[in-house]
Amino acid sequence: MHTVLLRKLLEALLTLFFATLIIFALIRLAPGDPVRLMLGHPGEIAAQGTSAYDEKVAELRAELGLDRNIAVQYVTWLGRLAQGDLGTSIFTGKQVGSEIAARLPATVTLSLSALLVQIALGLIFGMVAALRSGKLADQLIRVACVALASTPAFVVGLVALALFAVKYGVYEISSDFSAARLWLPALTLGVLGAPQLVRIMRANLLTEFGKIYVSSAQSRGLDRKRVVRHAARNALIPLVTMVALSFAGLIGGAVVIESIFSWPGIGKYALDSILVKDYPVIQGYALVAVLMVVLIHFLVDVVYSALDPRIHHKGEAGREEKA
Amino acid sequence: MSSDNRAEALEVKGLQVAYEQNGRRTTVLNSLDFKLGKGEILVLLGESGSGKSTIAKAVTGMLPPSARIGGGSLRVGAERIPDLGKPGIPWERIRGRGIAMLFQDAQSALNPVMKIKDHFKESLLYHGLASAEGAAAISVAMLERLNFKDVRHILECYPFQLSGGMCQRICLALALCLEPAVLVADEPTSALDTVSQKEVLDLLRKLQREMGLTVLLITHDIAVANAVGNRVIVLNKGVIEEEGETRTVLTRPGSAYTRELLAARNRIARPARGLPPAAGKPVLEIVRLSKTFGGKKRVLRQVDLTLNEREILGILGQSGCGKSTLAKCVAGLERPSEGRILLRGADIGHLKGKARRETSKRIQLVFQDARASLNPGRTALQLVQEPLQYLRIGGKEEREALAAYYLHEVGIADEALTRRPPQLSTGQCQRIAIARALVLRPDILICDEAVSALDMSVQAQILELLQRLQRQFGFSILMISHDIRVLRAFCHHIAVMSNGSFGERKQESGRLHESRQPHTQLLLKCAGDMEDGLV
Amino acid sequence: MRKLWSVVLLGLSLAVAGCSGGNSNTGNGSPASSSPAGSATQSEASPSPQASGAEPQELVVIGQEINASLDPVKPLTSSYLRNIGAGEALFKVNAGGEVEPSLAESATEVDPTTWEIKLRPEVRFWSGKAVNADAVIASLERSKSLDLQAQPFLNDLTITKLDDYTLQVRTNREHLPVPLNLSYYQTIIHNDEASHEDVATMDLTGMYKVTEFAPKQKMVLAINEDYWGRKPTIPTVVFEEISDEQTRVLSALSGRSHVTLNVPVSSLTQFKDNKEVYLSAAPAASTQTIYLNLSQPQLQDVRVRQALSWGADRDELVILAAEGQSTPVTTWLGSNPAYAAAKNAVYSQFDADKAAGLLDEAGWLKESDGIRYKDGKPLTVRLMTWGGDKALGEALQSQWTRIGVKAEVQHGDYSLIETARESGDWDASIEAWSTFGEEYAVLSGQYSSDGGANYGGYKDEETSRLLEELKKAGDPQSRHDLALQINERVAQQAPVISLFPRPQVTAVSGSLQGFEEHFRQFENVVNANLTLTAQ
Repeated sequence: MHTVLLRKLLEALLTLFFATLIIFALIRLAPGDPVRLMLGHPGEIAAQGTSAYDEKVAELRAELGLDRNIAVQYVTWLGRLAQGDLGTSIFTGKQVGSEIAARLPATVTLSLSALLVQIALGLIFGMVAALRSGKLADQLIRVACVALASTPAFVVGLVALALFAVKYGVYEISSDFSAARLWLPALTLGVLGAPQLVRIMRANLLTEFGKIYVSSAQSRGLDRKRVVRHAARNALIPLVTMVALSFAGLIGGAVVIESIFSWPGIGKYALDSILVKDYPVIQGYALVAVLMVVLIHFLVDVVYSALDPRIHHKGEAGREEKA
Repeated sequence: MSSDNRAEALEVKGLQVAYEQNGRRTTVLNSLDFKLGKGEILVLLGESGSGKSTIAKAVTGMLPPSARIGGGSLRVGAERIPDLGKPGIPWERIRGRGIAMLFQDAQSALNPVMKIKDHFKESLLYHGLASAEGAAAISVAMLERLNFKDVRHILECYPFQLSGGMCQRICLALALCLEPAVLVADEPTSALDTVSQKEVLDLLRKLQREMGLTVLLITHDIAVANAVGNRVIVLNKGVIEEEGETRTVLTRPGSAYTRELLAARNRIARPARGLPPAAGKPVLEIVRLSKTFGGKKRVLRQVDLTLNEREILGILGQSGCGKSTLAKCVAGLERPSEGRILLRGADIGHLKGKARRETSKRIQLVFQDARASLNPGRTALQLVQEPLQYLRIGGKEEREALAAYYLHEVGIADEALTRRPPQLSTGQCQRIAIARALVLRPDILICDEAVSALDMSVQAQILELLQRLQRQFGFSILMISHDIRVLRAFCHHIAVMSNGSFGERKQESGRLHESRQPHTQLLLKCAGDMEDGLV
Repeated sequence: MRKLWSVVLLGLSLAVAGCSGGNSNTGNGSPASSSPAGSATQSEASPSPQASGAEPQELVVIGQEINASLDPVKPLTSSYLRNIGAGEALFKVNAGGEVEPSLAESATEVDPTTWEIKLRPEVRFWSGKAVNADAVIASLERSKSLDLQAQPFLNDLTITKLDDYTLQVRTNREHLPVPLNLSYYQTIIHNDEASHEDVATMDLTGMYKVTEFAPKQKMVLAINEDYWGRKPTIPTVVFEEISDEQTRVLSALSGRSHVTLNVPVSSLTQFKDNKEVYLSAAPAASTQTIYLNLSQPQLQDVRVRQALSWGADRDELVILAAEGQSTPVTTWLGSNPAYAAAKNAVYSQFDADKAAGLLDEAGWLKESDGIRYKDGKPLTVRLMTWGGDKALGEALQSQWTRIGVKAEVQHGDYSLIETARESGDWDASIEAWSTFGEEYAVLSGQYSSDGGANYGGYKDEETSRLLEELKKAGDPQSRHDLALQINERVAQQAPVISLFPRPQVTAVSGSLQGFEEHFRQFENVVNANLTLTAQ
């Protein structure tokens, strides 16, 4: 057991190392210089003579260590990281760690709520589609799924806002992180993510329906509800991975919805920072995102073995006991 | 059980079933009548395609959506269904307490994520036969009745922790605790090894004696019919060929079809071997081979075995004894934990990359489920060319010619060359699998339960084919099976495996009965008992 | 099943916990944020300090972006602080473009290089500290040393204290408009001894005090009860960032925001039938301008550049790219209210024939494919656009194509344009610099050979000579005339092509009275006269 944990931990660390290394290098390869972007906001009068500007740029670059070799920068960053320091934002001068910590609850709350919506919709409609496979309800669900899956997130988000905030006036457009503002983005995000769960739930259930233990349960005279429950339990297990992936996706990829609903999560923070090439923030964000994904996958393993006895009893299969 | 005091527990009249696919209708059962007396074991004997499983599904309302019921009435105890073709039949009332069912693959018939005790609890509670505590008592009593020893432990297990035979007995217990009027058992022992098979069949007879259990047993296996049936109905293409007392039907068959079935069986029983083995010229030597999974589960322990040139060597053992793992190690699909595997003197146990691919050419595998081992999207001709393409042997035309030649050799007709597995019979699929193995001209052919799933007549054909090919090409065969009869008929030598090792050296197959190993004796006895009385 | 539910429940409780935890996070313990979780249907239901049944009032201002920091020397921060009534400079520019005293009481030009500025003794920072000569000098020194953008306004000034409330300003050049320089938001007066990292310690002079701040998200302000001037009546101001332009529009339409800045011109139709919100489209003093790279061979010829300007149909561009919310401007200074006379100078009207004539003259001749060629090479212009200028780029592309120029548009991130400028591999790009300010500073930044916005490498002796003259010119009239001359000279040389003042659309709620349109709206929203009426 300890070796398994240790191996997982090592894997996670390796993942973190390479992921951050790649991001570290990539953002520096992308065009745009954070220092120039910070100093050179257009909109005011252009200065005559750029020597002061260039001096300032060089000075800031040196101060931030951006004039050094990438490898040196990375090692420095890792060193600070080892002390729990994610660095400070080039733009705001604030601690990246605390800035992310302040925004993470908003993103996690939104992602979790959306996930719950997604799961609820996925299970209910997936089950209905499987039970009514080939019938009208199934067709309707399929059409709805395809329609939703092919509509860009921002369209759905804006339509939802136009309806609930403008037309019915039941939703407040602000930049707050509050319970009252959660339901609409959560629903939108949940509805957007539900189609794939619906389709997979349907497919899984249909596969399970074809299995012998379902016929067997049926042959024991159990009613439809109980028979479906047998199949559902098995159909749900592979869904855990899907849900986890979807959660990881939500944490990292809810940027569009966060932006549309001006939800103050890390997605928007990261996006703003990417636009101005705020390296420490992007790195910090990437680290946290990768960390979350690693964590989620670890949780999946735990949940999986709780749900599927075949996993924690590995190696006991087909025991030849003479009883 | 049923309060009805008529002698029949089950009566089926005028049952007509057809399957409709892509607008084509195939009639499977044509106006079938039969009765099943209380306390009787009736065997429905037939080969695949005879419609025997369709009967089981029709009387429990579990036919697939493609089935069309043309008509037929059903009576189970007091429950009468005048027209099975009409919707709205109260199946939930009939299933379980009226008709219970056993399936071929018992392990899959239990919910993989539910403990055994929960299966019992659910059934008993749902049918209102016990309270939550009562359910535990009933399940313990029932399992004890079915020869389980460590019942409390079994109840806490998940299906995958138990062997196939145990699962089948648990299914039986699950069915019986609902006190059904009739038990329909669809090939309940075909997936089991001889010992477990015997155990389940003995149980059925015991329960019949003690509880007056009524069984409709569906099988393709004459030995099974022989072992349990009071009465037998021989079914051929949806029509009853012959019906009567088991002994009478199996010893003095009235119909030509029954005679054919018996003849196919006897053909297997008659030893007709391939080329004699070249003694002292080993092609494969296995030296102190061990295989451990996950650091603790020892599947093979210090196995020693020698396979000579042109030898057909049988490895006999119950499921889970490690014989398939041995096959995989030899074929290079698993890496041995310890020991050596020598192919003509060279160790092949730990090869990698190109060297391994080269050896894989010389050792080929044929699996039990041939259909599953073939890509359903490719034609017979393409399938046989696959290994040639993979190993980059020959040009395009040469490959096609080779494939056609071997397909011809295994008896695939020219018109079937362009068909794909779904359009081919199970026997044809097995032939293609053999051709695909032979096209590489292997030194050794490993057949892992290669005929176990086949009908008796097809089994005989495939075995004959293998013998003919062995004579023609002179390769050695490692034949892995739990079926003692097949091995005795087919192999020069037999080695008996149990619990990951061979108790003694391989024996000449004709002299297996001289073995002093208790395990070998048990296997022989089980097989013998089931065949008792058969010619 | 039970396990699954517990997992789901765990998730749910996490979500709830996360939510409530977050609430207390943003709360900051300040009274103004007491009910962020209030029902969404009552968006203005935060409890008012005067709970006498009066309408609790809160002015909501929404911008595309708000400050990332509270320190006025951080880039752009001071513009947001000024905008929302928290920060003030010594002077300000009114809607008519005239400079007025603000924190200063008066300013007088003593001689061509000396000004005297009187301060108001009654002005106090929020902390109560007096805004005297020392404090002002310290503030301006801090801005000068820490804010690169403040340097153009402060570098030429030397400020000394005459007495506690009188400053003397010496200038490097004669007749510098010192009050104008000290009206820019970069020069807002802040307490240099205070820490501007935190709401509690920051120290400015404005009519509203910041009570709550989330960087780039939200700022809440309350009336500064000790304000030196006329105090506002709306007790609370909320300044929020909603970066998505469509969401911003919906926020205005939903009636929650009273002032919505940076409304995209493309969504004007959404406001058409709305009676609760009106649009304010004060023309901004910044000109949408195409900068040409004069080091590209085809653009070195002045006739080609002039042709590109003649060939731009500005009336059509205003309709296609600004939804009619602007007016054509043919020379750069035209968007400055003081130089409105230059609006139609040089390129008085769209003239494709003239463009064609110039191109013919320059040797670029039209071929059968409609494109002009010279020495076998087509006349190409690659125009780089970013942000909201995509439509403008495309409109220009089609107009230039009509005069035979093979125009390409590359729309992308601003950093791509920066990179291209560094490498020199670009033909044209669009910028909109402010045209408002001291003439020499504004023009030299664009057209002197070392001007920060002279991207194309424009170097013209005549222009340089005129700029030198302007630098020395004393009286306003001659400065004005010289600026016009430079403006015209540049238009003729056409290193840049001016199109129209950048549209600046603000949505204002009908319930808000006292809103003042300003050509620099981004720093002029909150004033003391604003009142809200119930809708």
